[in-house]
Amino acid sequence: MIATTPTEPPDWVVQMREVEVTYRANPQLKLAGGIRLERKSITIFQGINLKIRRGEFTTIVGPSGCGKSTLFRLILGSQFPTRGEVFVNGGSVQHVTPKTGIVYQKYSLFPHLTVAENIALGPLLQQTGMIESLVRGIGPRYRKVKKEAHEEAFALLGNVGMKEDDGNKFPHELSGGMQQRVAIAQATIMKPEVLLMDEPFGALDHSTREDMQLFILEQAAQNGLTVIFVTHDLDEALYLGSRVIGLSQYWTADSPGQQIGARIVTDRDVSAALGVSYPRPNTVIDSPAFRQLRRKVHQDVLDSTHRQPIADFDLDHPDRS
Amino acid sequence: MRFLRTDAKIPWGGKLALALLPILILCFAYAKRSSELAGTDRAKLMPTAGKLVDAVKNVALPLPAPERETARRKELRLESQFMIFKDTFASFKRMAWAMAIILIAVPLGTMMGSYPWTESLGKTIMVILSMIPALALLSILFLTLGTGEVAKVGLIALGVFPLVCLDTYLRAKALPREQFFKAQSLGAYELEMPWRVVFPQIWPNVLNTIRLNLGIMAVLMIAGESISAEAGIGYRIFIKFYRTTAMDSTIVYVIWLTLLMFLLDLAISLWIKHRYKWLAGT
Repeated sequence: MIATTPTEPPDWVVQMREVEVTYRANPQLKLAGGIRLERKSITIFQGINLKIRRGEFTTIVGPSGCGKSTLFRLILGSQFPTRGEVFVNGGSVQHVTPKTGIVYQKYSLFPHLTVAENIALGPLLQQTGMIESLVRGIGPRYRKVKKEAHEEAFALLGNVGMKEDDGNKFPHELSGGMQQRVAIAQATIMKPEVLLMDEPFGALDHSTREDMQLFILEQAAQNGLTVIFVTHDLDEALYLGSRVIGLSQYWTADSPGQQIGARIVTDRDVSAALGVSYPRPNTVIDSPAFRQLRRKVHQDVLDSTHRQPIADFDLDHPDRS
Repeated sequence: MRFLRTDAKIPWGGKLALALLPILILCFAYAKRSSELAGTDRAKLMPTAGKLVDAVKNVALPLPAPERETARRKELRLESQFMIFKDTFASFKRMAWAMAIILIAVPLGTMMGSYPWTESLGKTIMVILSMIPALALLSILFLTLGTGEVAKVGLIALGVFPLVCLDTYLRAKALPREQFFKAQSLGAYELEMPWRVVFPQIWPNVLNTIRLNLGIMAVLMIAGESISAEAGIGYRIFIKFYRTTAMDSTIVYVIWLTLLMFLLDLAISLWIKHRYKWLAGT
């Protein structure tokens, strides 16, 4: 499934080249002005180029409908570009693989498995085959692998701030924050090349959200994770990200006909912009530099009345070249 | 009047009393009407409770041996002894065979809900099959497959198989696709997905559907047996008791079958509740 391209340095975990996504809408019967079938096509974005370095905490921010989640799915491999190519770890993305870990806002956990079973699912799935799982009553290896995976999962529980007996609870018995902790543990146990998170804290209340932000920073540092974090919350994006990418449909074309879909309008090295090394203290959010950066990114990315020309795009991250 | 409110907390004793109330009313109404009819020419149509007890003794308890009995009579007596149990065994054996066939619908439906190609392949034909009233096929089945067990088991299976298959398919289809991607990101292969991701999540609900279809299975079983059989609840009611207007035995059989089905239903629902505790949270 994976075609290797040795031309690129292995340093780039995620690469996108001239990526375009165009949906073809269902044909609609038009009666006015002659009966005909009309099929609209909607371009979400085109000409997206992106390289993400190993160990980078990238946050993708943008107004709703800009295609943040589409970008997420392209890297994941649950959707494919109309044009262009996406690479993860040098291999073209054709399929969802264990190279990418996922944390969704919901549906990350399997409701029929306990917390420990959820965390242990990855190692179990990877080390046992289908036939073995069908006849697991017979195969002693399956039980051995399962037991080891469970022990590993229970050992990990303390690490994600949960108690030992939480391991035997079902996901619905946990709070939203706890569920996301389990989801993060479930993904990180697989040691993914890149951890993809799609609005993971979107459904959480404010204080839980702050806890979780600290938690994911801690986990990322501890496991040396490369994270791509999609969010609509600008504060979250700037606080968490070492690099922030703003995707927006609010920009002005130089020539008519160029204006199709969203573009990367902002690509900043947040650490450099704030002058604070990473991971940064949580007081940074009150600093003038943070406020200034926030105002700038808000205007460029989220403000629909402020449409800047391509030349003014704020793309000064060193990896964009 | 707190107990009438939508948020009323009724103690278990109250719940039990309320549950038993309609049953008791039915029993009382029957007893009253049957005692009124006793002695008239319609008494046979609505036998009194005493008659019903006699019928129970006749079909369920050992038949008393007369003082002098020929070998042939003894043979006949032993044959008709414990009749209800023999019939129940014969009927439920057919149900069990049919159930074994119906369970094949579960992996089929799971596949249909997981892969687009199986969905396209199976969806339309299953909808069409589910629309065929199984009873309309009764004569065809008996003429082509003979009047043996195959036709009777086939009738039950045909009637319920498409329903269970479609239900499984819809439940599998309703699973969020994110779960598939999540499983793949955890190292699941394409081929493992229906078995390791989809099936465990939908099985308790599918089991519930099968439980709800037990009634339909019983109807089809009785219909099949009423055509031709050597034993079975439907056979006894339709062929033996009907001819002799043995209303008392018929009622005993109906109550017995209902009771068994009720207990089976209860057992399955309790099992689901006990075994799949996570279901409460979804």
